[in-house]
Amino acid sequence: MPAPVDPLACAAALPGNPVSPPVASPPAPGDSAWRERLAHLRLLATERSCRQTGRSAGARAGELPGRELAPGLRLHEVRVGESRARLAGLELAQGLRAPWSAEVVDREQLCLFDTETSGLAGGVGLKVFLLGVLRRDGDGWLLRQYLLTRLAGEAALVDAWAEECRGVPWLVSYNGKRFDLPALRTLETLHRRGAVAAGLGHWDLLYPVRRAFRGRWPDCRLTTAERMLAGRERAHDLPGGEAPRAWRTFLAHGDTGDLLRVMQHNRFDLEALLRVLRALLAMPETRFETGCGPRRDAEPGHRRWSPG
Amino acid sequence: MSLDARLQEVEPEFPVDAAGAGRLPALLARLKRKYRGCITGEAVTPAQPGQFAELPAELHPRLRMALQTRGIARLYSHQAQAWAAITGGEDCVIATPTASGKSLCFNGPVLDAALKERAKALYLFPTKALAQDQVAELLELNRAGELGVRACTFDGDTPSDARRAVRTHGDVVVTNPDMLHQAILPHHTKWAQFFQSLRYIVIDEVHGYRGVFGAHVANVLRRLQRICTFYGVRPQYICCSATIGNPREHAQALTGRSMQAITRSGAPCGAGHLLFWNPPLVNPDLAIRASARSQVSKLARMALKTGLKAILFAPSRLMVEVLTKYLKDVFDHDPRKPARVRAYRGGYLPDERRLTEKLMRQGALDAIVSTSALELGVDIGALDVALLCGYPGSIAATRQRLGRAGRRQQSTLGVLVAGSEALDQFVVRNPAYFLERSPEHARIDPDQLLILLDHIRCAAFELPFAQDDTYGAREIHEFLEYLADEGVLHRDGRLWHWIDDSYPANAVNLRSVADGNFVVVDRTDGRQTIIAEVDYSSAALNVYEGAIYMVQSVPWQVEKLDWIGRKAYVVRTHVDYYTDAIDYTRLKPLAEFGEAAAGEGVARHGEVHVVTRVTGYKKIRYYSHENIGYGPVNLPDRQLQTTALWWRLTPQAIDHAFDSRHEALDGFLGAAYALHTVATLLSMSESRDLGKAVGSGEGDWSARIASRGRGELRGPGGVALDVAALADFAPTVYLYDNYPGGIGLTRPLFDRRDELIATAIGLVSGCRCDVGCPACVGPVLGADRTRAPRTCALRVLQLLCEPPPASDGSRTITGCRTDVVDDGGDGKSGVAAAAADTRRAASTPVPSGAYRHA
Repeated sequence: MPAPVDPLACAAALPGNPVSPPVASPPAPGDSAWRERLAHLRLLATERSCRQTGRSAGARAGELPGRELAPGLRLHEVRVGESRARLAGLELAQGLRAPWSAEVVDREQLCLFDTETSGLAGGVGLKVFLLGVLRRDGDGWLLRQYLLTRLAGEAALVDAWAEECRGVPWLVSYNGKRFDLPALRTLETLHRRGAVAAGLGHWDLLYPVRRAFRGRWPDCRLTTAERMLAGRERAHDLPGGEAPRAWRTFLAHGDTGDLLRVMQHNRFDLEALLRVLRALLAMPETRFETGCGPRRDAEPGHRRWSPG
Repeated sequence: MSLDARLQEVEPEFPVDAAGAGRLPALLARLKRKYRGCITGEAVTPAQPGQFAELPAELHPRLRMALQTRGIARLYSHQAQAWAAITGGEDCVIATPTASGKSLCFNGPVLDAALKERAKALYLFPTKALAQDQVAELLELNRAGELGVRACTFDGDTPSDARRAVRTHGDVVVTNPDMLHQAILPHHTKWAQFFQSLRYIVIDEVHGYRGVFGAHVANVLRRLQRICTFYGVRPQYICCSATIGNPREHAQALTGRSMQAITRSGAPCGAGHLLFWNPPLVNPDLAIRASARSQVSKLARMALKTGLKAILFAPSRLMVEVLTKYLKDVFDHDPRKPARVRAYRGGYLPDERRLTEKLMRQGALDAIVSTSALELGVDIGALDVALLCGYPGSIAATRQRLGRAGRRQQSTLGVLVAGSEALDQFVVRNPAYFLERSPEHARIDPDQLLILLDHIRCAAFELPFAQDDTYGAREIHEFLEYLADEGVLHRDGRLWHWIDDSYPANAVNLRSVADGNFVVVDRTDGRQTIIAEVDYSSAALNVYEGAIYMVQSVPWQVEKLDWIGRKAYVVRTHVDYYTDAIDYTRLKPLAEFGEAAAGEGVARHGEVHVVTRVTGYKKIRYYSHENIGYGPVNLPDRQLQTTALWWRLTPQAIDHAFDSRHEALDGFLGAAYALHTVATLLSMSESRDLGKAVGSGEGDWSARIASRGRGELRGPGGVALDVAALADFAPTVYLYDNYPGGIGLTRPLFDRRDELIATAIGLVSGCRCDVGCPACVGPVLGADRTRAPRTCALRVLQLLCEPPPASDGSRTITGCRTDVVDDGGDGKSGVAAAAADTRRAASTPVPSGAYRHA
């Protein structure tokens, strides 16, 4: 019988084909066509994004409140004095004992924090662009907001967070254990810094709220807790889900409008956190019967996955 | 290889199954005596004594003790060679046969480094089952020597409280490329500790990472490399491969590293007998042969009755069940006794598969019937006989399956039983074709534009790119600018940051497998038990209402199919038939992006619609295999919208060049075969990545190769048509991107269309076969030389290449030059082509299985 020809050997022997198929590096002829195709792709993308020719983010960062702490990072401070704090329902006793954990914490130690990020999907690509910290200051409260106006300011943001964590504060957050802290930890790792918040005391109020009210409230979101426990409804608040877009728009075109509303939203959240804390501290222990801690079955970003 | 098996072999005082030694020659002699007419060829691989080497002197004492406890006092020569290369700091690929002890090649150095320096290792296996096997083997070694090395799997089944422990304490983490892509790399900061001590990356079954899937995996490894560089490490690669033509080049293309290849096995092996088996003619007048299924079933019965253990490979899941039933009817009719025969295939629940693997390893089973699922290195212990029902389609896969039979000192038997398809018949009638050729080459092109773009997206999410960064040795600032235009990247100084709110790895599926498996729910007597899973793409073929669905050959009938809810409800049934779906595929162009003259015809690039419809099913009675009825199936079509390139000749040109339409049809089918072969080579893809079809330009008929390698036509609904009776006959050859939306394979092929045609002409004209073979236009079984498909295919290809007769004398085109005629005039077609290419890249999370249902 005639011996059939190996198609590879045959193809290789033909003109226009390299004698030995180049395996490690792709064939060169594709390169120019490839460039051209990419150019087409870019053209489309440009048309799609309909870019405005607004001023760059850096140029309009000066319109934002506060002062530049480092290139790309602004700090905005707002003081809430004693009398205003009382009026707003933000006052708190000196010594605090958590009815859900029996831990005793001094008011001066508290560090309420909340971040705004470029998304909710998790992972290394998630950027923290606003860190708000609410702490006791004299006879009232001081809000410090660190805003990333350029990505070059990330390292300074990490340093600011480290500074906030000095002096062993007691952290208070809403879902901070699973969301805000991991996001900040990622940032620390990317900038080769240590884990400053590791080992700090932390009240993540989501868990006591869930323990006490799950099934009784429609959901356990912070705004719901604020409404149910402090009787406050927010008006004119930017929905949290809008924050990523607001920041991206600012980076691309320098629009500060929605970014200011994000800063306001962050402030509302921190005040709400304080009110919820106040309400929870006043509750009897029986409300929180079993221990509170993060549920371990749903880490963000780790979807159940089965290949094949 | 199982360590238990090694135990027997290096400690000769363990009893060798002396009685068993004579059984195989007895069976072989009987087959040759009684079935001489069926055996078309025989090949014997001589037995090989083992070649041994001492355990390395520098071995950690506890590991030495562990190995000795497990019965390993010496290494095979290739294991020692691998050890030396690895400890010498080289990247290497080990390509030795199945069961030659490949895993010790990497486990040894990895454990040694873990003990001495707490160095960590990442293992990548293509499936969860293989990963679990590997961890079990590591844990056994660990126990034997009290090594204290922590080996764990990390996959979709790992509970999240265990994940933290794996990340922080795992010394050897065993996972799969999909998990690396979607869960580990995008969260690399959580793995910082692990990456900082990462010394080895072990990739098993690298031969499986070919074509588009391989290109994806190569890019995942480039991303892994970036992350490793960030954490200041440069891990060594240890790859393992089955026998392929180019293990070294392939591993290099996959990892981007220069590799040392270790290909000479030092493991002893018994003589291997291979028989080529053509089922006997049952109707010589009509040239109808007995089925491969009946022959395999008979051979298996003979093997089992001789006391040998056998593995059977069937071409489909359905055939696995039918074969299992036939064997169970003989060997497992007493329900009180443990089963001797079990089936193994995709779709079974993991526990079911683990149980079968375990029973097989323990020697509790006598036969296992499997699909390609057992081609991979799942440990199932030692077997005597491998029976292949049909030719698996490639030399590498055939060898892999035959290699499943293997015992250290005793001889083994493999039988390749041909089915009725032309390719099977060709191989079995020309055994030299199989024996003389080397296994296929594995090819990948990691720089496929849209795949590259997808992974640069993921890489940018994982770490910002610097302006002058390279990726896979390529400058990529153009890609970065593109992604910035798209709004997902933002440039600040020298760095490009990811600022989008999406998680790009979720939008990229390495295997392009549709999501949303169907579960098969047993509701006999009010139960609600899940008994199996069916993947989305094959649901329409397997679980339509009325289908008989089998698990371990036990039949259930599908009562209701909830297409939206992805559930098939079945009840236990007792019938004497099984069902087989009738489907047909047709293709229709939707839009043209580019057009060019091609000889006397025309070549086009554009978007096509590929429709696969299941129209009904046949009821087939067991044993007699007669058709005892039909049933209708009313399911949504499976639709694939993708990009393609196609060639067409005018009816006049065809009438002029061919005596009959049958010849033209054979020619087009042969040309499609040759063009497909050449196109997969040029685009470095796998044959499954590109589809090929011959049909009318309007999609009202499609052609396929029927038995004996000649073409036939199907109209809408799968009705057979007569080619001579068609009013208009303008066949078209299509090559299409076999992925929803297309992944950009066809545009570069359209740009290289002249080269494609020229190479195909060279392939067909240069082939040394007579009328057509699998290497050129596809297998052909006997034909008149002048009207042979090969001759006809060559004519079609030449018509598509030669310039039209220069009527006005102004065009003097030589060779295969063609002029591009853009239909849009001002380059619009190019943009439209790019638009089609972009669809998948630009639209955010399109689930990979964008097969739409009308």
